[in-house]
Amino acid sequence: MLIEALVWKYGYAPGLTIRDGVIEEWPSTWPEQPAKKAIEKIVDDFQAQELPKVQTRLILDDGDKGLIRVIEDLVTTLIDKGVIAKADLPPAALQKLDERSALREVLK
Amino acid sequence: MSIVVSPFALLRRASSWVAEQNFLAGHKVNSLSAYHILGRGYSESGADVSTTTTIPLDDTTPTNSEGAQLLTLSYTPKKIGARLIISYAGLISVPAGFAGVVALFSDSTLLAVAAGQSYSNGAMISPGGVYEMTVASLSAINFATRFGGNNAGTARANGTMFLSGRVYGSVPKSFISVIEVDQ
Repeated sequence: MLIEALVWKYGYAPGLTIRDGVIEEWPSTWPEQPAKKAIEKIVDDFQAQELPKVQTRLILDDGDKGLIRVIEDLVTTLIDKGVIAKADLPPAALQKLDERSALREVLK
Repeated sequence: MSIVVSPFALLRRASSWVAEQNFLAGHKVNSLSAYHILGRGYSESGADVSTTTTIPLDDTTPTNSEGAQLLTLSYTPKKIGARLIISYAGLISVPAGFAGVVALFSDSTLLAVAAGQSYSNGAMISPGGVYEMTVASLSAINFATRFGGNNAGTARANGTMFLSGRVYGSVPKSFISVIEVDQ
């Protein structure tokens, strides 16, 4: 969790390597490496403030993939039932739906 | 006329026959075998290593300043002209959709590279492969593997992202194995 906490605190930068909890490399673009106590505080803050958000985001990310199909099926049903017309959809959304529909035809 | 054979003589004959068969079997195996193992080396590590330094997934040769060092193995070949069979793998975790890359070096020279894509956050992949080379010198060769994600983000070896590191106890290990064979 140390690497996630440091990236959360300072922003992503290449050059950070941690081996078995010991910092081996510190990015040259970051401020000087703080003392051990200050690093522990960063990890505590990360756990308290950011970790619940990260975990929620991961669950949402996984759910998003399944939701795409739900939305696609919903739009198709609404069009089939005449509730909405294809022309009502924004062109970019219509293009994406058509592309996915065409790809699904290939798989049939 | 009856011939009396001592049971001890029969036993000696039988054990001699078994020894003879064993010898022939061994000789047959040796004569058919294409390779003779001259030496071997092995290095493994279950250390929880994480890095933000990437090995970009592009059409450039990975260098030994990309990614982070995973393992090293020094091996001194026994015979010029022999073949070295090097197996390597790293247990890597990267964010979903990223590639985890493991590169095999001999000192600063890239020998081989392997990559795999992670299908979900927290999943572990084990990019690796087998590389062969001919022994050109009897000096020690310093093999090393380096690992990294393909894109800006973090990569972890021998553990998973977002789950604070090591999993499955100390069993998962990245490794380099070298076997030297005479042809």
